[in-house]
Amino acid sequence: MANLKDLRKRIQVVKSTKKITSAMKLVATSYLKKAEGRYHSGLSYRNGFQGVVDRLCRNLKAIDTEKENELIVGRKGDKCLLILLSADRGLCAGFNGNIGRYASKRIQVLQEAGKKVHVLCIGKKAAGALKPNHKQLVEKIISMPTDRHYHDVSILVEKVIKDFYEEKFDTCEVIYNQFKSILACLPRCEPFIPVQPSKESLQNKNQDLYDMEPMDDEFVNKITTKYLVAHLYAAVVDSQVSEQSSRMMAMDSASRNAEDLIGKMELKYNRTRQSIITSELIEIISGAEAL
Amino acid sequence: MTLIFQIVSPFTTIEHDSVSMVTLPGADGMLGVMPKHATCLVDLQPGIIKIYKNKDILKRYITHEGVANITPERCTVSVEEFHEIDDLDPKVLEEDIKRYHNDLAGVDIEVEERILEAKIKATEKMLEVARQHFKK
Repeated sequence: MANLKDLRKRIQVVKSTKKITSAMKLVATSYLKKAEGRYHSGLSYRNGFQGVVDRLCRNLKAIDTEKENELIVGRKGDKCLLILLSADRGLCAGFNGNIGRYASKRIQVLQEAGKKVHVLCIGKKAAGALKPNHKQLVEKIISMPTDRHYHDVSILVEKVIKDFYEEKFDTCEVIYNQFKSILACLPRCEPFIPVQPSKESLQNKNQDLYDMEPMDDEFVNKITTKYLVAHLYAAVVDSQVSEQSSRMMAMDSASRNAEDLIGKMELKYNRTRQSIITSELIEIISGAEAL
Repeated sequence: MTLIFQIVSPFTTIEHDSVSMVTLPGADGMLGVMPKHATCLVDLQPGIIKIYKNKDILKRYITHEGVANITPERCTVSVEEFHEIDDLDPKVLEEDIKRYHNDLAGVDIEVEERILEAKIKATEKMLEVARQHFKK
């Protein structure tokens, strides 16, 4: 039987843990609200550019360009870059583990298809969740502060485009957790380079031909770069909102679990205390009877 | 017959239904967009977007450079940054420029330098447009 002092100590420890998890849940809720705002704006911004890119892909032949834009038409080659988005911190349930496992599966599929894969991690945790033999494929791990996401994404996309033109890779994909609801987020892999038109655009074949002002390479490059920034930014904010919702749910269940544990331990503590009192009483009564 | 006008940035989205006309600061000059306009993509430079409803100006936005996607029913403007001109204090833009210059001093990566320089250029142009507007 555990002694009363130990039980009291354990109850205190679980109570302090519960205080921490409750506070973390409140912090995650507040971050989630801010992240949701960024998520909706980021998605609208990306959709705005998606409409532009859909038209651009459809009318590419009508544009007077010196040479084909490889960011749109693509390039043959076997080098693939995976941009893997995860969190910088843990304590968010299966958020980092799920994305790591999903990325490992994707790497395996690409390697089986004969591709050479390199991984660029945004967020410190994903690299650790990859399979041991895939960890060596990680080229760089970047941390992204919350308050300057857009600026950092712009810089990163410029670097990725530069590497693409230097033929360090031929295709690029983004893997991130897509926010479905506060209760669920699903890992998702999207092609990043070459730029892809949306499914709706591919299904709708009756789209008008576009006029463009000006109709030149520079404008096409500008649109493509801005679309890639919007695409990655939307993925980053999507991943961030998923992270905060996962953390909020994880902390909520941890708090409830601590509550149950405290209830059980208090019951045990009271039973132990009662049994000690009873045995002391029996000793006193039997002593008195013996006299 | 009216037009739906939407302006989106990475941080804010605003939509106006039932707009009569929109004027945009195109890279090749000002551009008026009315309902049933031909579908086109337009390169935008920093300037003022005016939204008209029944010959009256409904709103004025000062914008960064961007792209306008025009269809007969809709005009979507995608820009990195925009402000409603009546709420804008030019000092905010001046502070932004100062902050970018400070950031630029501590940067040693070529790509980041280029992005900051482009930002400074665009914000300076926005400031110039705002000053001209407030002079009037």
